[in-house]
Amino acid sequence: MESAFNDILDIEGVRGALLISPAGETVYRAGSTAAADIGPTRNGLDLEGLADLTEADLFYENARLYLRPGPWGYLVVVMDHDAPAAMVRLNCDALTAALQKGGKSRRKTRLFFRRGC
Amino acid sequence: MVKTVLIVDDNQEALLSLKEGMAKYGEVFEVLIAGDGEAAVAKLARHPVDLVVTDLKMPRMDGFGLLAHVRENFPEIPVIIMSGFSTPETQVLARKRGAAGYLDKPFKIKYLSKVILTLLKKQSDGGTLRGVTTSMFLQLVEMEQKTCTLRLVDAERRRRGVLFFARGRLLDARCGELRAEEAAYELFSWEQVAVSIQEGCPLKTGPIRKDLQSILLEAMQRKDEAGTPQPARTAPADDGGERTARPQRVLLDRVKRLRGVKDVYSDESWQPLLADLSDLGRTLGAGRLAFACARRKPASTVVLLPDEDHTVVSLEAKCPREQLFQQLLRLKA
Repeated sequence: MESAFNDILDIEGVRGALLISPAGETVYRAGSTAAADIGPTRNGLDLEGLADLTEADLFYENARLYLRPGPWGYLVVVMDHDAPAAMVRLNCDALTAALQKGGKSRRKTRLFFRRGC
Repeated sequence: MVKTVLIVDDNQEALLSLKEGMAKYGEVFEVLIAGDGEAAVAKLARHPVDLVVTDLKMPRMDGFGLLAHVRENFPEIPVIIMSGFSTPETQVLARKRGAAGYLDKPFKIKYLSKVILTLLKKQSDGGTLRGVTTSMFLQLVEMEQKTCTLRLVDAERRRRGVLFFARGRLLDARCGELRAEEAAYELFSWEQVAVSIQEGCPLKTGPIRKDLQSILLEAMQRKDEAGTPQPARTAPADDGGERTARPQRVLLDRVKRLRGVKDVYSDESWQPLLADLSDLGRTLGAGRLAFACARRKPASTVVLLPDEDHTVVSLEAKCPREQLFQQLLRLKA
């Protein structure tokens, strides 16, 4: 899973990525995501309302977030406003497929890996 | 609108006789004259010209020098070369350098007039539309991926401009002394103009990098700002961010015009989701939420604006989302 996250982080403009459990706890964190941790007890963050979404592109003042909910929780990619979102989406497809299978799919993630963009 | 033909020759007698001989075509074009290339360059800077006819051998700047200047600065203007010392080589050279026609002196005025009329007619071989709203028409050009040169005339205000499109992409624009995006902003703000469409584009590349939608939006914004007083600043918002007091209605009007937008309406039911998303951004240090594009099953994509009206923008299935996002960011800025 770590290498699949690294593939996402290698995309130009991507700052960091988080995997948050359905309960709202940070399961995995890579790159710079500003917040040290996310959890309902710590931040009062309730992500349940996002579970109905298939995906979301969120634009904030200082960053863009790509959100992908799934049975494993919430995958959040933090990036610049003009980051190549299609590339991020494709790599997230590969990562979430691996998460759903509970295994790794290096071959597929490599397919979408763009080196030195 | 009567076209303008600039005739350049160091032979004053020939110039005057050409001007006089062409007076009978006054309903189609009027004649400006210049004594050499440099004088012609000065006239081109001051007057909108549709066609140039130039002698080859002249003092200060010759016909080839003028041809190069026109190709560089006014690529939409065809140039006819005329020469009393013609050789096959000069004819080939003139064509290679982009001359639209070549005439050996002496020639009959009637013959030159015929060539001029043919070239002027070609400038609208794709048709002429009158009373057109520029923005709507240009979006069609983009959609149809047209390669063409568009000449815009605002007869009421006596303004003219040119747009160069290749496969639906705007490469360059000219309007008076304005060039590229600045010219496009000006031209796109015109309403009820006459547009002459010439098939083909003399440019292969151009200085404009922005997509048409962005330029159209910027043009509308500039027009609005020029026509209305600058918005006053409100007090800082609750989250510490400062927001302008630009009327929400203006923003929504612009959003409605974006490509791929199906509908804009109010729906409070999205409010809890927006609150969650705002919290997520704040927690991650991303700042205030500008807007969110959410997809739910069954396939429906909406953009949510965190405003008092709970604005929801529904998108068409084939909406170019990334383009729309960038435009929304600009609008919200």
